[in-house]
Amino acid sequence: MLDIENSLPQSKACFTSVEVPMEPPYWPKFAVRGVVSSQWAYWCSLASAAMSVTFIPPGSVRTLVILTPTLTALLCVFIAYWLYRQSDEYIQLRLLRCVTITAIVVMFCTLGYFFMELFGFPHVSLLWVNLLGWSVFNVQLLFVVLRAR
Amino acid sequence: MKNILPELRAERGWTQAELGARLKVSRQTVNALETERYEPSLSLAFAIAELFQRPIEAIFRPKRRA
Repeated sequence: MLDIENSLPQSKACFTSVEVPMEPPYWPKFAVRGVVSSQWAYWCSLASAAMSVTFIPPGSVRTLVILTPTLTALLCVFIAYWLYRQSDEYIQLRLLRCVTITAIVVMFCTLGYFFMELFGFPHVSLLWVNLLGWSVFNVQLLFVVLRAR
Repeated sequence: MKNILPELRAERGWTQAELGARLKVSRQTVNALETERYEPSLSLAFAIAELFQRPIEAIFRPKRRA
């Protein structure tokens, strides 16, 4: 019987670089886990940074907590880039389409809110733009990743 | 771009996933090629031609313009 688990190259555990037909159970595991956990880490670090301003007295610890989202954001970017590099040409094209759609959504949302601000809506933090952009991109990314099996 | 990938694959009795594994692309990519939603790069077209032992122009044909 074909031993699919052991015949896979370890460095490319998902997507397309396999020598044998792919089986559904293992394929998207690493990709989905990577995207979800990096997003979870990013959101947690953002929440910690936001709360640290209130709860931690000024000092090096607070600075460290505030700067933590930079690292988790880099992790998110790294994972998205890793997924892109591991994909074949058609999936790469679809991921680029996701980026384009995200840019369009963010552009329209920010433009829309700019007009709403003119009509008296409160100013909001740029962090919401960041969260919106990443969320829109990640939903699409997960959709592409889950379908590419 | 029209292609005869479904016929070639059917002749060999391969599934889309099997063809994808042989070409080192995903099943979704094979599906997109077969349904003519995606035109392959030169390197993928050469890989397909090599796999089926046919010239590229025998597998892919441009759609005629009206």
